[in-house]
Amino acid sequence: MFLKILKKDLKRKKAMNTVLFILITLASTLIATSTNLMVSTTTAVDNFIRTSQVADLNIMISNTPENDKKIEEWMSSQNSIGSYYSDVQIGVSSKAFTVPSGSKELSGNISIFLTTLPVDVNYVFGQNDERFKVEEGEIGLPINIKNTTGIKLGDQLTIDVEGLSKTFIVKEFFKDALLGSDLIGLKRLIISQHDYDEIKQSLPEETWIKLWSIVKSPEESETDLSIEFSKSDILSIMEIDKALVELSFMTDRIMSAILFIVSLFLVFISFLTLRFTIFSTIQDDYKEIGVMKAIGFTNASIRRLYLTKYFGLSAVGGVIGLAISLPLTVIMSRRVSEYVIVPVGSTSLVVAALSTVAIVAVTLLFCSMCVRKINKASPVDAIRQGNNGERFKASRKTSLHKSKFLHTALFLAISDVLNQMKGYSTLILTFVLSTVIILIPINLANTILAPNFISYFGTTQADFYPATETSEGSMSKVQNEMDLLEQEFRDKNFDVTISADYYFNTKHIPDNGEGGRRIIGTKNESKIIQYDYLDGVAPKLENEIAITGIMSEKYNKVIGDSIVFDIEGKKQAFLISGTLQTITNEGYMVRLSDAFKPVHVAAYQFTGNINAPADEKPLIMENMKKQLGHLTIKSSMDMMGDLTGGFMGQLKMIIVLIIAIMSLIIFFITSLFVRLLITKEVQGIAIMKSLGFTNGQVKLWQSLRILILLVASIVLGLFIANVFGEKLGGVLFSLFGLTKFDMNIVALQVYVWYPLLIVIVVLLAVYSSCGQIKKIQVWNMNEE
Amino acid sequence: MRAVLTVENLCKTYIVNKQQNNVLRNINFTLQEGEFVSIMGPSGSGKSTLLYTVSGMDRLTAGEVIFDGISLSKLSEKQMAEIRLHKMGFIFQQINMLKNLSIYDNIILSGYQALKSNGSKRSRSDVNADADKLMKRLGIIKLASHDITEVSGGQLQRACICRSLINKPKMLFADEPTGALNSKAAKEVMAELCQINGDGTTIMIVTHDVKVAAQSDKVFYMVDGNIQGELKLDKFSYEKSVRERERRLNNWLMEMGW
Repeated sequence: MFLKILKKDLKRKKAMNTVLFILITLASTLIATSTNLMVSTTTAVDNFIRTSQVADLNIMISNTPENDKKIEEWMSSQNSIGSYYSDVQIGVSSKAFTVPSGSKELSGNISIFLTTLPVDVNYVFGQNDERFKVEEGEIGLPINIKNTTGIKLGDQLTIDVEGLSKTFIVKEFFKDALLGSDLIGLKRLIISQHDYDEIKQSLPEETWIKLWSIVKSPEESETDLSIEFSKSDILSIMEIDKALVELSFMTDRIMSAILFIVSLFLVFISFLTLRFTIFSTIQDDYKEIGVMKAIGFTNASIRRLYLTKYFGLSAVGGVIGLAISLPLTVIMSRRVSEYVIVPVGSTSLVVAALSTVAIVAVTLLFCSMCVRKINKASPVDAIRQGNNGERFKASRKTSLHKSKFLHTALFLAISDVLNQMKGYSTLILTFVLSTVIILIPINLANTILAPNFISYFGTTQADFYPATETSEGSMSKVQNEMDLLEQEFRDKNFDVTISADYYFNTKHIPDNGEGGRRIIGTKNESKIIQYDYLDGVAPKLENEIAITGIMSEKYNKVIGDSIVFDIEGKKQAFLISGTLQTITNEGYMVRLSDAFKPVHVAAYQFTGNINAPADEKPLIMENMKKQLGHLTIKSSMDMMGDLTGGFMGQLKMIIVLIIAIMSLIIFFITSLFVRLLITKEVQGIAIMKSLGFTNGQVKLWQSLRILILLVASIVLGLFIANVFGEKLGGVLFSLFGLTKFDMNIVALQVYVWYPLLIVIVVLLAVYSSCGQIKKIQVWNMNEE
Repeated sequence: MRAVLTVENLCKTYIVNKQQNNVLRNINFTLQEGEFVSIMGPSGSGKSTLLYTVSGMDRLTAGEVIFDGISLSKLSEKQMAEIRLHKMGFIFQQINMLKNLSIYDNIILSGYQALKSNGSKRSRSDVNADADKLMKRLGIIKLASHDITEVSGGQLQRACICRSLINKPKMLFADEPTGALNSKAAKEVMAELCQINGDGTTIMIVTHDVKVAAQSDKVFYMVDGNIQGELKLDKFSYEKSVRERERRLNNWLMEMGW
């Protein structure tokens, strides 16, 4: 008999059961996919780092005998070091490469090194996850270069350095644990020993960078070599430890974490909907429940009847969700497997199955809590439809006769919302959550895409960035280049102002004089735009400096205090004039004044501003790109693309995915809700029809009611997304070193387009669900 | 006197489980302006279906229904709603009102709705004044601001009568209006309906109650979707004996097989 009742229920409430089933399936798909992705990505990255035998600490340092001596002395003082390896990497400018026609130039924002295949540590692997060989005349490129330039296997790549020109055939695109992540701006290119020796000999020694790879002894696990090294007075170019390598692959994990959070929201929304549906169904079936109780059914058996249906829905939804999640996980982990060795079977059926079982179990537990309501009603109560005969005064908040102009449909909608707010809580929560889930990632993406975000990378915000030689050189050489560059623009009649950002290595010297941390020093000779400071002012005098907020907290230094840095081997005291923030070097950066003149810089970036009204700038940019093609002029957006690698693409993909999922959810839940409301309001609709209301007017009433709820929810959602989103962004970016996070809210998108999208989806759902209004006849009035 | 409702060869068929069910078979009658007609008959004879079909609430299968000179079968859903709003009033056995509105707001709702169509010159305050007058006349003015759960069934049915009259309809349709009321409340409601009919409103009522039917001018007796007989009574007046009318009706009903 149970089966018969169930069959009838499934047939009678087809739309409602379908929506519930879709929600459960969707929740289970997302949970299984995101859990599987998180586990598989983490496992794969850990496995990749282990297989690649990434050294515990990798130090890049200028190749001088003094540095060699210092490093060797430091290593001999460390008991935790088991072994170490060193090799020379040859720094080559991106401009030295001639790419095949049809491919893009190598980005000027990455530092490129030529090296041979690593044999002891920091292995690299080919696309088939195997180690590979390169013969004379062949070259191996990291996978990022393939993705950013479009170079293909077998293409020819020419390197011109100091009069030596060598052409290589691209033999392999490889996976590199040490420097492979998009977030690491150093890339190594693998050539044969013979080619390497030839190029090395033709280049001056200052282009040689030594990579020291240090491995701890197996019994040592506690010592943090990075911290120990910072205590020394050795000035390195770059230090990469295992933790940083792990961190550099975190964007993929962030994506699966975002997906997981969205899934949790979805589960929450599904539960709210389940609760609403169960309560509505029980209310609808009160009479039947009463009759069953009256003829001797126990509470448990009635509860089981309801639970069987939800068990069926969640079990089938769970299994289908699990089945969909498996190929979806493979598709979504494709990017990861491009960069990282993903072991066979790392996308685990067990993990996905366990998360699905958990979802089904929690759903059932939740449902069993909801159906406890059945226990409360005595048979008589139930037969009386929950009405115990008691009369009550309803607290009505609206009066039609007091409203002079309000349209009757609008009045009815307002009256319903105000008088039955509790009944709409599920829908309000769904709308609010959906708005928040859609808008937070959009706000975060817009913040990252804002032109001024580039300044957090230590680069001044400018109209354009000419891609020129940006690696190490003397200040006088840079100045000459800048003059030549300006001349080039003048020759083509472009009225622009060229400035430069300079980067050099410094080291903070703590007050006790021991050790310290490597800090990136910058100075900028921008003639147009001043840098933003959190507090205080820009350094003006030679002995003035601005430090980051994070350094201010860490070193307990405030504006007006003195702080010591080692710059170019000299310890100098500076007066702190202001604080700033950056995400470069985990937030450790200082800014010096124009008056400070270092001899050498580690890197530099030219910036350009067009001296013309804002509306003319895009056209001038176009002309510059055409006439000065060899300079590869980039906008701040192009630069951001270079600096963040594939992260922006991934974020955009996730945003599209979130919008699609949330639109589906909003559509289904609104549809379910409207159908349930209409079922509950058959009597009221029949009365309205008997009074002369048309189907259209009844639909208008239904739509207006949902629209009022939606507008209120969107306003609330906007507030939460903007306030909470800013806090969330603050927490997220503080991991990278920002102390103050101002979210960029693009008003038109956030206040108009996306809310409009939600409104359209909701109205579509309402109108597609209002079909049954037409079928309601006046005699339905007598149906309870 | 002119005809307000003319029904010609009316048929209504339902298909249930692929079986044709003829609920109304070839029905013909005419109601003149100001008439009060009752429809009686055993359960399932098609009384309510007839009421809903001739009032345009339900579509007919064949035949024609002409209300106030307009053929209802040719009207669109929107035009039919307009007719219901302006020219028809309905009273039902179950006391149906919108739960979120006060008694007063329930009464004026269709009045306000009617202002938007037909270019009516009536204002919202006119509707309010009419509602006040009707409620005073039916003795429920003190209940205006009450919630529908706060008053008795009889009071609520009188509120329903007020609602049905707010747009001054040409004809009232009532489906067992006293069916859910006790005898005292039923008597009061019928007194009001007679009064309304006396003012010139045509009334068509479906009832099982002989006492109710005895107050109408004409009674149709239905069996199996047909009007089997018609009894003409004089215009009802409280001054004359009610019992005599009831006796006459009872005798006739017995002849009909009641």
